[in-house]
Amino acid sequence: MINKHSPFAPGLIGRSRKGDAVMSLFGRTVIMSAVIGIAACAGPGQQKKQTPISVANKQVPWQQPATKAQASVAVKVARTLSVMAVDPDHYQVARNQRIEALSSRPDDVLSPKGVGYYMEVLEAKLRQSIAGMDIGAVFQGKDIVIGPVEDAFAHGSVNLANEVRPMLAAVAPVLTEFSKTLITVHCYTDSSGADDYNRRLSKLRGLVIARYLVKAGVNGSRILVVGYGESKPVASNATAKGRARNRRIEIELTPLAR
Amino acid sequence: MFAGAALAGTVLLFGLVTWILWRETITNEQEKVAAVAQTLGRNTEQLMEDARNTLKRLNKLPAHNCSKAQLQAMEKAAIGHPYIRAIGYWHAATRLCGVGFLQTRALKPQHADHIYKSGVIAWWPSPQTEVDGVQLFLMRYGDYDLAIDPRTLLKTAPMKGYRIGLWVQNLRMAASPWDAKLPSPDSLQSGLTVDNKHNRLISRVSLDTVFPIDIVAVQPTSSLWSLYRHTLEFAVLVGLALAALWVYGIWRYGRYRLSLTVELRDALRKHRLRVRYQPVIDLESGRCTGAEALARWVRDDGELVDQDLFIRVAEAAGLGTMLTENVLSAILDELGGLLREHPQLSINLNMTPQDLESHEFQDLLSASLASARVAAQSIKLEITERALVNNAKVRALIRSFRKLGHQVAVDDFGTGYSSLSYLESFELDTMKIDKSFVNVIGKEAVTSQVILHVIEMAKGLGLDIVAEGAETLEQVQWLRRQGVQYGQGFYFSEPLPADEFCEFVRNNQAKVRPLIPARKWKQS
Repeated sequence: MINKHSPFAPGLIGRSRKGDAVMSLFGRTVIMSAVIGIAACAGPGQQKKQTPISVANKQVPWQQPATKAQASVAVKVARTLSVMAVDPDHYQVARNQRIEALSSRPDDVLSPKGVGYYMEVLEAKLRQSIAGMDIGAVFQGKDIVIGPVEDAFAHGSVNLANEVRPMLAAVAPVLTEFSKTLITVHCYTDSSGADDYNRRLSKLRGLVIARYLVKAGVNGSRILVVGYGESKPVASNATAKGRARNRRIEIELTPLAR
Repeated sequence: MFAGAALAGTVLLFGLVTWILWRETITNEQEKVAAVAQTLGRNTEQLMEDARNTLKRLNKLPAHNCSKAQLQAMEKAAIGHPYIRAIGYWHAATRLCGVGFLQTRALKPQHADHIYKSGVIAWWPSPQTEVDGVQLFLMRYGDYDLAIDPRTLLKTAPMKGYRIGLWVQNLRMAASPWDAKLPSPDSLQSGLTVDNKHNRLISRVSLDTVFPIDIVAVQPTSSLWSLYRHTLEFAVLVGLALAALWVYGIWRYGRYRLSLTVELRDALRKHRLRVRYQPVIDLESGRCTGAEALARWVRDDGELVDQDLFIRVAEAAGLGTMLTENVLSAILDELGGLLREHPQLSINLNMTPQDLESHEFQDLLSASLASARVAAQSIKLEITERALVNNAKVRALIRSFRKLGHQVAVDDFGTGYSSLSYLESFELDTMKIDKSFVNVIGKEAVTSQVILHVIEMAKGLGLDIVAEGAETLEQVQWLRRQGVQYGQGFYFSEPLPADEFCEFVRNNQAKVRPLIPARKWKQS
């Protein structure tokens, strides 16, 4: 099933907008390959306890060698979400593609003069929503970055930490309201386990976040997940504390402007 | 001289009064601006807090669909707060509905000035928030925004003749008139600055209670000047009165000095000065070795003139030599017999600087002694340390005095800061330690160190030492322990008239005994 000609394979999960037949086909191919990738990752590198993930109210044993049936569940999930998940290598291309797809209607984008007001009000609203949660929302250029949210997942798990849920719940309505933005979920892991496994794990975790947001009302086609695996640590992986800090997510909001 | 003093005093007085008033006016002005600033600061803080609370209340409204109830609630808030020009209800960057004067305007400035942690976002007045010539202050929280008219802030403060600006968090919030050109507070010192180039006064007051607030007030220099002029006019009257008092005082003092000079000249001419003799005692044997002759002047009205004062007057009037002559002739008249009888006694005669200026006095001294048949050894000459300054001439004179057989003592030693090497260049016999050093023996450690130094110096120069002003047994014992040979002071005797002094000498000669019993020495 792996499409060797696709520039995104094998690390891309996603679905383009409906009504674009070519993209749809292309996207499906990518989704399938990615899910298989995720399913395969749990093999030799990972001897840990199985941690099920609740997606669409189904217990999916992600970390077992994937059967065909489980792979297809993952495909279904990704398709329902309309979320794209990529490796860092494909981030720029995927991002441009997503923005282009989202900007196809002039009503969906901001005028260059309106960007400042839009983003600043968005930032203020984010700050209002997460006030008292010890999480920042700051400008990086024209983009706003929420986070980093550290220790967002337990070690080896794809289950959202309890502390993260209120934050996502608070942020989701704001993200829904300010729809003229691309939401990029940057996902990082600690260094336990193989490289490959960690990259897949991080993408999977990003998908969990995306799933949560979509359930809260955010349009999934605005979401792009980037799984960095263990490649960008912010603390030492030698200690449990450092590893917890490395298991983190950041949510980046990019204005859609002409 | 008195005219100079009177003029200088008057000018000084006027300068002082003018300066004090100027300071007073400046301080008043600063206080006035500070009071305005306090009011403004408080108002601004209240307004910002009030606006924030209004926004929070609006966000808690149950209905968010531009319903009649929601619009009514917004209207109520707008009417309840006179500074609010408009309230808007927003979805993201779309203004759904609102109330106020800016119904159809959706102000969307590109850059906010402050996004607070709480989620409050604020746009300071700028061209981007300008509506019909008024720059508005915008505040948004959640789904609502307020357009605030900053002019209402400045209306509350009394600002007659000022141009005034309000900076909140280092950004200009309001000014009166609203487009007034004002220097930024960063470029100003706190307090009042006089800008001579633009002929204006700038005040800056800063507050920092909830957030930093700066007030800049500008007024033309002329306004302060007119204020100052009023106080100055009053001050001129007070100054004139004070100056008159001063001139009168000077005049009185001048008259007194002048009349003293005239009277003194008269008294000297008529030999009306009296002389008192204070015995000088050998501390070892208790023997009287002589006395210092001290001039006393009692004016016609019976007032005893301070010795220092009339010596100063005499010196200033050029009557120094006449004074010394008077004393000398009194000594020879009154004590001539005693001195001839007891050649070992010597009477100390104080010399004035004038006496050291020429040989005139020396000739006179020799002639007087010869005619009275008193030996030169019987008259010891005292020269103040300060008179030793004119050294070349004085040195020669001292040498010739000593050649004639007089002893020479340096008086008031320790008050003139002479160095050892300087004194060494004079031929001296005796050093008299000033009474100010003797007075503090056993009282102040530091000065006692000085007297020790002076004694060492005298010993080093090989001089006899006479301590003046010895008043207590303790002082005498201490001096003797330090090897001081002679003493003079109330402990031994006060200055005596000639006959009493003769009596004193006779008694002293009759029963010469050690001044302090040997047993006592051991005890102390």
